[in-house]
Amino acid sequence: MSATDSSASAVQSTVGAPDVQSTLEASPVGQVDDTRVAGTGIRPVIFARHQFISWGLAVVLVAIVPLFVHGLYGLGVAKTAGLFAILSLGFYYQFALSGQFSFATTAFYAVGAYTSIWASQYGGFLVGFLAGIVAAGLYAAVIKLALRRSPLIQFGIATLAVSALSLIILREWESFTGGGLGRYGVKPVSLFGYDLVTPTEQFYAVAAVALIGIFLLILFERSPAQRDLVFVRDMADVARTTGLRSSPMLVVAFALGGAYMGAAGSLLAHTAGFVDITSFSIAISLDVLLMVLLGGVRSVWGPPIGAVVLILLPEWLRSIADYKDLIYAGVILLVVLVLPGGLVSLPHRIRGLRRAKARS
Amino acid sequence: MDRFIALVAAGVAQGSIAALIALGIVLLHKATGVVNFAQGDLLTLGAYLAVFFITDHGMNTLLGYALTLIIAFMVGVGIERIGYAPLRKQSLLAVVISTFALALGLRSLLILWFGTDLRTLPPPLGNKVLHIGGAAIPYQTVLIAVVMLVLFVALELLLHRTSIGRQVRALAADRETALLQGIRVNRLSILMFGLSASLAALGGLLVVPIIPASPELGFTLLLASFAAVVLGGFDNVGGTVLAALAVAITQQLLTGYVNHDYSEAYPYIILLVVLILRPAGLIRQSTSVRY
Repeated sequence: MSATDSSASAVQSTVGAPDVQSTLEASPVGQVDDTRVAGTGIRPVIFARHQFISWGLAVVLVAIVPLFVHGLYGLGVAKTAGLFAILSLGFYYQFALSGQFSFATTAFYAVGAYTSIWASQYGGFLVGFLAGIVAAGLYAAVIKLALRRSPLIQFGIATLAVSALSLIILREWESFTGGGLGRYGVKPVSLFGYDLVTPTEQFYAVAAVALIGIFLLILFERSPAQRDLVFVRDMADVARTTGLRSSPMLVVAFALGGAYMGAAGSLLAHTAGFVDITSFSIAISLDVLLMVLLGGVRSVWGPPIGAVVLILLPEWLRSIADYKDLIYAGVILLVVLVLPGGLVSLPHRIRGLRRAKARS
Repeated sequence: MDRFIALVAAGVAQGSIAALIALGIVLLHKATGVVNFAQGDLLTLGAYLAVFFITDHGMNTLLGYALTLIIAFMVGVGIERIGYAPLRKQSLLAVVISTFALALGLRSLLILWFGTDLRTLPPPLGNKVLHIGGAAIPYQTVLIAVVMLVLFVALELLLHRTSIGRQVRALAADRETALLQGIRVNRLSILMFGLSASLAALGGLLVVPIIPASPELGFTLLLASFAAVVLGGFDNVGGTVLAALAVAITQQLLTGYVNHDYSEAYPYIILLVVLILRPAGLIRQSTSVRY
């Protein structure tokens, strides 16, 4: 039993070992169109075991949260963590799976929220929710299509401009967004005629969407499409010679990410009941980037874990709230410098260290 | 006509500031391939340090400026040591992200030190204005444009006429080969980080008499200079300066004559339109990718 166990983990460690990846990542630093993401490599998903079991555990974990967290404030924080988990899952499609460095998160979030508010006037929450997802996804697809030939850094800066521009347009488009006054009295989240209005119900609604998002992401991760996408991400030119159409794949991945962000925006609007232009800022795009980096870009669990940790961190450290950004900065620097795989890679790293110790 | 001149003058001033930040970004990118997102916050640092030395401590203006630039240089060196040197073997994105983290850290330190109040500095040349064709142009605006032009010429000479410039270009082309040729690559990249940080701080201390210093000052200005850097091609000093001026003047003219509600939006629209038409900026650069 122990023999097979160790051989299985040996195979896993060879595949995920840094020396395999370093050949993939042995790239000169000074290139603008180097699309490789820090600390990722091609990793066959069959070695990522227990994904569905982990998902079941996550469902149980989420289900018991209201036993430990009480009150409007605590559940509000938990709900925010859920919203950011959805945002960072969307960012996982764009950044981790397809290597696109984007700051447009907040634009898709806002488009999802406002579209959902507008559409829910005509058919209730579910219509608004779907409309928000579709609108944000389409918006992302259009942006990626228009900028598909821009190299990595140029694309990143262009998405920064997209975010700033979208926020200005939404601010000025008063008939759609209410301008500076915002939109009040947004319909609550409702399912089959039952309105979810208490903090606990709202938390469950957001968490359920986040869990469904993770489930869909796991299915995607295990599909051949993921392997094609990672191939395109790491070696776009080589992938093209094998007949893969790189550009449409990147557009679809970017749009999927945008759709997740639109879902988060819709949930924000319908659970808070009020949205104005200050609900969205470029800081959100940065926070989501930090969350995904903190959690880790090599696993579907990285983004949600990063989101939960980064939302809860200031709550735990209430006494030193002034130093929040400083702590963020330190944590990110530490992750980039010593733990490129993020928090999710921590168990693997500790196991590796222990094994090295046992050998010596 | 005087309105047109005033708008163009405002555009030149704004463009010159954007160009100062952009010069720092281009210099660093030329030498090391890094796009430094902390450049905006280094500008904020320069603005606050100048206010700190000159207004708060009554220091001589030139001495205060010199101290500001020296401290900014050292901060730049610190950024190289913490955020770049350990990550040199990793991908470009890792370095970009670490400069992001350092920018965030720098900004929060500035908030802790100076609070979030707006701070300003009296202009070094007084509040006099220059009259050209009926339009009044503040001396500070003229000063900014002149300093930017002088620095642009100096930087061009440094990069193309001196030994250091040749070394920088060798470093940019191939770090290992440069090392084999006896170029002290470490020292050179430290120098470049320091210099570009000083350039950003210079932008800060020049801009603070016109725009009051706030923690978000640099990041706001950074977006406009990114537009210039992208449009001008990442490695082209002259193209970047031209692009910065063109974007700012266009923005001022559109604001003055078309619609002022969308004033902040114009640079982004220009940037996006150009990137859609020419994906790598107005001036194309050729890079190679190794697999």
